[in-house]
Amino acid sequence: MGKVARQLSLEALVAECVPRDAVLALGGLHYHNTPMALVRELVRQQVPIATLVPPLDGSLNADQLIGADLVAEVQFAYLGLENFGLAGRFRAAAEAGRLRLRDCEEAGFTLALRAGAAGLPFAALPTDFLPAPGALPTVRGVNPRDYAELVNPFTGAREVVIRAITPDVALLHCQLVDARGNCGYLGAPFLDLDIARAARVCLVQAERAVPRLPDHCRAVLPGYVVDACCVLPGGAHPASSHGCYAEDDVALADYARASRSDADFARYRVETIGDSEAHYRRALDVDARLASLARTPP
Amino acid sequence: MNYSRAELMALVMARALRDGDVVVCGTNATLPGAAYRTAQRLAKPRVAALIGASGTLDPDLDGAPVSGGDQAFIPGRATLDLGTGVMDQLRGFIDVIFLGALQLDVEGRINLAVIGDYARPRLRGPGSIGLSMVGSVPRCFLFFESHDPRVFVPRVDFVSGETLRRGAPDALLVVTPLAVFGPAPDGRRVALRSVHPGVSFEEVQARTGFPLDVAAASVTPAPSEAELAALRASVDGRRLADYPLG
Repeated sequence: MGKVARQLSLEALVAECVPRDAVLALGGLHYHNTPMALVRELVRQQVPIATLVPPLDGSLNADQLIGADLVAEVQFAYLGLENFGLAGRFRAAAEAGRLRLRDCEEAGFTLALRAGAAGLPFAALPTDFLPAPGALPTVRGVNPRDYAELVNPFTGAREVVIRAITPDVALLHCQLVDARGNCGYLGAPFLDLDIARAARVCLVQAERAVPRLPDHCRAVLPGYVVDACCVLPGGAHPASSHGCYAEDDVALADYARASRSDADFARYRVETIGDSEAHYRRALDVDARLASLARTPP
Repeated sequence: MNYSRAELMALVMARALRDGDVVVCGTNATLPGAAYRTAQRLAKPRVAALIGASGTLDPDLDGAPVSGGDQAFIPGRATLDLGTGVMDQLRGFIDVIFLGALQLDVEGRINLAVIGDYARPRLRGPGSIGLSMVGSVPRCFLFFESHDPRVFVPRVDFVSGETLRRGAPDALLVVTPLAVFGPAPDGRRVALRSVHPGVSFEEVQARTGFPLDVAAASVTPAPSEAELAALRASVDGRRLADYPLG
């Protein structure tokens, strides 16, 4: 039976819909289309996460949750700040051994999400695709939790498989949501459509509500996949929201610097993330920044 | 003719592309974007590009944005969803992948995961991501923003990908601010192809952490006027003049 997504405030969406100590996945890619307002609200409400699954290319979204000491374990293929350098809080936690790591790579991670979206228990990788475990560490060697071997029943060959990714909850950012919870993407959906379907509960923050999605959406997540949403213009900042605004290079560079030390991140948490989204927007003058970064749909 | 080292790096990659190649650009798209657009202008019009992150096939723009996920890459001939673009790399439809790495070793292994011991690394890198795709994409173009003995090592600390596993003579092209590497004739080891104009072999050896095989090494040809004109039409010249190289 179809469901109609509930529309809640940002605070209520996190308080009522995000379970504590869950497997939690994030949408978007790098600093694009990623649910930063939801991430900041997780930090404010201090929601502990058993396993964080960042997007295929994780960024400041995952780094802030790790910096706030909310994450016990991370399953990831990439976690960095692209041209802004390394993800400082992830780096510090991993180097100190404070974070359990499930290292993946692009093909396996993508196939595992697709398997999760399709309701399959695992996915097989192409034969002999990955480096074999040996004297030097590899993803297969260091991550037996996700990568395993089995015998192909059709050929007898040994194949490498990866466990499906099945988050308890997915947090996504899109541009438009209609009255039935159908979510419209004005630019790239990245892997959001698979992340949404792989998760048991799918929560979305949208730029704006519309009566009906326009035809120029480049991708649509059907409302029957979506459990609840909030409408929050500018909620991806400092990431981009395709078709609405570009990434904020100044704010991203500031975060990259803040991520490099415990003290700087602690200050960022208090002074920038603050105790409400309204605080964040005032602290960084987000409305003015977004006006200068405005983009039309591609 | 004045040119920057970043411009020469982009041209080395543009020269190595073949007409009809399908290339994938991932993270840090500036140099790869400059390279494939320049190749299209240099009599290789059928070079096609898939921008991995945004999923755009042949974006309608010059002057590649830094981030492969930038909306400026949309529109193009088509926008694939990201997962389909990954599957197309697995399936063998792609000829060349552009990658960066924390380390490259003399046997062509690449690493973007950790420096040092895996459990308690000296440097935790971002993760193996698309470096595994060298398992299915036949030619890998690696570009490095600095030439450092800590990057070019006898043995990587983590194997994210193995570029020379198949032993093909064209499986690897490595471009640095100082030099160009490629497979040795046996296809199993990394050898020096050329040093850039004004750079000495001694300097490249001093900044490379394994003994250089220089048997087939020469000097990287300086850019021609036509090459520089094609490059500068393909990317904002200032962007490559300012491009951060170590």
